Amino acid sequence: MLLHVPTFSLAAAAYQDSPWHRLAPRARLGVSLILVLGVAVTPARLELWGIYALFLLLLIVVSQVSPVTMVKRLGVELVFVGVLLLSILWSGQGTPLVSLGVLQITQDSLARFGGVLAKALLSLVSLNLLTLTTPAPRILQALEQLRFPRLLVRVLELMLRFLAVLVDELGSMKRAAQARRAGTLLGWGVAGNILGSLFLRTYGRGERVHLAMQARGFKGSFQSTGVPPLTVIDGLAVLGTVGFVVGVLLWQGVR
Amino acid sequence: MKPLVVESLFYTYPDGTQALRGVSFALTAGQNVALVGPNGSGKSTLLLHLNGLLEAERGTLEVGGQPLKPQNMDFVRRYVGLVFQNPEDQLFMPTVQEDVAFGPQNLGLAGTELTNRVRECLEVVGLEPARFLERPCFNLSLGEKKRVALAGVLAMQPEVLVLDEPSAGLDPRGRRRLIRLLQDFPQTKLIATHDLDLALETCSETILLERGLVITSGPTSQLLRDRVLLETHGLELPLSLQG
Repeated sequence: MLLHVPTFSLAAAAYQDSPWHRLAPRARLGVSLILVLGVAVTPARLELWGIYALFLLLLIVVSQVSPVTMVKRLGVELVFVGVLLLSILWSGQGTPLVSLGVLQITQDSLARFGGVLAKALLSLVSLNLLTLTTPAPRILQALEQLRFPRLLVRVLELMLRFLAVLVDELGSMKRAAQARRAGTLLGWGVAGNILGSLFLRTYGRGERVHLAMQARGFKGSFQSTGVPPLTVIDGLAVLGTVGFVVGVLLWQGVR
Repeated sequence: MKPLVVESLFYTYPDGTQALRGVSFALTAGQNVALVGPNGSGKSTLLLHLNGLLEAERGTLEVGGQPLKPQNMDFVRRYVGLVFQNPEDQLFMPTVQEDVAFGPQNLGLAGTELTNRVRECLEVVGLEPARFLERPCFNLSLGEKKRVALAGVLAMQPEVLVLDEPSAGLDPRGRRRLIRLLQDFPQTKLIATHDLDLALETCSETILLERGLVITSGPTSQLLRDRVLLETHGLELPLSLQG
């Protein structure tokens, strides 16, 4: 999800109008996290994943998120997740299917890899739905309203705010270095110096931002913003999702 | 009562650089004063003192009739609004609304009073609240960032507005808009700038600073016509007077 930090608050989908968009960011965050939790605790069975996939599909249709954008994001994210999960693929015992020297893919490990990948995919769809439809500042605000530590939220906000500035500074330093070199690739020494300068600049900026905060009366603690109450629809959406997750679990228990 | 009185202010940076070496001046209520001088003359250091962000090594500072002391800091920060040169340093909250609200929130404002204050200040700087309130700060143009930074300071309703290089990096239209805004604001203003044409259009008085010392001060229309004085101190005649 963090891969998209510089772009996700710019997503055009964040400013559309749909029943999903009309939910308070807190409720959207709640629904997404409950679904992730639900996916995590649901036993690995194809029909259960199918039910979750249908539920998420319904949410995508309701929220009018472009399927192309969703697939593009999932593509990037799954590459990272897939690499992390490779260790599961090589670790199994049982009937070997493919052997690459010492590395073996067995039937069990393939099933486990597929299971974890499916769960990761469903969770990512849920989180992407949230980040595509909710500007990042609103997600952080929702975290604060859900009693997430305020200081941590501020740190995340500052990171989000200044990431673009740092990426810009890194880009301009890289270009400035390239403009004075014959080749296009930078040596390790130059790249190291650029990173060192970036660190110092970050430090300097931190100092200046703190001064500017003090100039506007900051005395070390952030003032709380009022928390707007949740509407009945918000409550129903969260309760409905909890009901869905519990329902799926009970249904599979009965069978 | 003079809103700002500075007497023999000295400041030395930890690396030994003497930035201010006995600066004295006073602003009268409603006056617009330009602070000019070459790079490294101590302008920005001086401005940081006026809001209590740097502590003077020697000398006295009086803000709104009260001496600048740690006990008075709440009053000083409300009384003197400081607009930084680089808006990236000033705008740190994720959205325009939250950033403009930051100052008044620290003063204890909340609810509709806070929302109204934010909207009013955005309107004053010419940014339509409906379009800008929810905009992420990093996604604005430099001109818009500068205006949001100004709105964030105006939201604290300061009596004295201190601006560090307000026109730096602005295109001609943005600069013209800024000049009009500065002419309209009723507050007492101290503007540190290299843009001598801006000083000529907005400020009745000018203070010339070099190497931490006030070289001279007087009516802008006279001081900024003195080619010899300006060139001796690393400046030159405003473009509009070069004929």
